[in-house]
Amino acid sequence: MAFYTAVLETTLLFSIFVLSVYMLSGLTGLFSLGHGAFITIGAYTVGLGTTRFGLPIWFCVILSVVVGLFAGLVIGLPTLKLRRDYFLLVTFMFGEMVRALLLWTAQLTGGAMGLAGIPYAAELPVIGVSTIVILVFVANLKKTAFGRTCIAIRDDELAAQAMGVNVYWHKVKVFLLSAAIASYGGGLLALNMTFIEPNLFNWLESAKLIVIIFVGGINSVTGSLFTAILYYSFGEVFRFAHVWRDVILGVLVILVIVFRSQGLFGAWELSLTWISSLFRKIRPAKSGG
Amino acid sequence: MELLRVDSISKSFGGVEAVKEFSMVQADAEITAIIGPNGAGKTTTFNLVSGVQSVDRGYVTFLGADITRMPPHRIQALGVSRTFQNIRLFDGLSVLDNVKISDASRLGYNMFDELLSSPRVRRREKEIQERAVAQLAFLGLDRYAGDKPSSLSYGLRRRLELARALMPEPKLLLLDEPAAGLNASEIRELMDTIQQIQLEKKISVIIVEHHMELVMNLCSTIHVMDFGRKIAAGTPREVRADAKVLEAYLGDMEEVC
Ligand SMILES: Nc1ncnc2c1ncn2[C@@H]1O[C@H](COP(=O)(O)OP(=O)(O)OP(=O)(O)O)[C@@H](O)[C@H]1O
Ligand SMILES: [Mg+2]
Repeated sequence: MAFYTAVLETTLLFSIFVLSVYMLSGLTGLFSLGHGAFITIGAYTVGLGTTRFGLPIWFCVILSVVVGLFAGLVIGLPTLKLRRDYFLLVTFMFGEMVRALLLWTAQLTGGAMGLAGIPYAAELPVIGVSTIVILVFVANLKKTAFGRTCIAIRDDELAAQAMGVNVYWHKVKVFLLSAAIASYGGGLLALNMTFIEPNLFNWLESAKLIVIIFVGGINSVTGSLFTAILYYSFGEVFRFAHVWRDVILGVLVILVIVFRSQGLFGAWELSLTWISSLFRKIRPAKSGG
Repeated sequence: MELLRVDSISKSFGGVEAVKEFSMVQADAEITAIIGPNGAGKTTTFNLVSGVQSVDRGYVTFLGADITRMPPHRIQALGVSRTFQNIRLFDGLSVLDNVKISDASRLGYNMFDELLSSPRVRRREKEIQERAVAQLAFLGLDRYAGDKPSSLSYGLRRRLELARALMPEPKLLLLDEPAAGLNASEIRELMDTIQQIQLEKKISVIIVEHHMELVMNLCSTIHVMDFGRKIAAGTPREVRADAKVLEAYLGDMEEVC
């Protein structure tokens, strides 16, 4: 039982990361290979705050969001003006820089040895509620003017500008939101794992978040979440087959890109109306029988 | 009343001088045209006026304000709207949402209002919804509101671009080859629509177009470009009789006459 709880906790934490990247890459078409840096920043803010400075746990979680937002501003303001491919390169370097910085400040952070002894404070209820709140938030965002604007920027930046969209500023907003959620999730991750190290979330892991979104479908939050849950719980449950999940993901990526470029779920979203229509379909069948 | 003043603007790409010292003045609620052979610099002129490309030299003023170095979204917010020669719709958005998007600059609420879904947001969203639907109805696209633009025929996509450009209720509309790819009856409909836009909506229109019947019938003034320069301007009658214009159009003379 405890094992499955742990699997669920990890899976949900990673779902939070996927949701944070969904806004950035799925909706807005911006690819960041340094997104793991925000997760790492959040984790280390909480880790250092609780172990080295003895700050209250939930104050540290709030602090992790603030630090994440600040890092997002510093890295986002100059780079979001650049072309998308340069943005990708700069965020990649940012991620590597954060990692190097943690190794370099070993006296404080524990360097490559990692940071242990973080209180175990993020249990299933906290993680579950956080995931649901963030999921509802991201799913709603997609339906608003804010989400429409993201999609317009993704599809045609120049046309979006000519239609009155302040593209740069909108990208900054999306990037900050995404960074804040990732840092928050990183903070929870530290409080769940109790041990963190600089390689916690390297650029490969960041790239996987984007891949998962593409497999699920960039127009479907449901698809991204479904793929995330499948991928991360598979790896946890079948530890012995850990490497196989990357093989399966790899094959799936190729199949999806070749045969179904809109992703597994296309633009389909799980919604309350869909669920209730399902029930309506079932009920007459019952009464008829 | 003077709406737009383009004062001797130039733009080059590497060695190519796409626009050279081009000037024009556009008044309120009039329809004018910019014509010229392929590569004359017409689209570039639109790009410069709408801020999509930066002006090398010269000035653009709109309603007395200098918009030469203004970013495109601010120029749009002042009341300049446009369509594109090679249709540029947002394929990830529905037909209706494509129209809604161009109201972004007048949203009047920020992200946090939106996250909290405040009454102000709901009122504004409802108003945007109604106006977008009305805009689609104006162009006979209401049936397709929920479809994706890629599922529409070419002619309908051009109309959707027009609906999107009209949504922010602009003062000036720049139409880049609105008749390209349309059949004869569609062109007749388009001409009616443009006339309605001028007369009922009181919007000033500049048309870049190769279709001479449309240009000659709708426009009070025609500016003729060739190799980036303005070589003639005047009423349809004057332009048709201009020797330089005939020379520039050598080869497709019958099209002009
Ligand atoms: N982004 C660009 N980079 C380089 N050259 C360009 C660019 N845009 C336009 N040009 C060149 O500038 C010149 C004017 O192009 P423009 O598109 O303005 O012509 P046009 O009058 O709209 O022609 P058409 O009737 O074919 O649409 C052409 O020689 C074109 O090749
Ligand atoms: Mg052109």
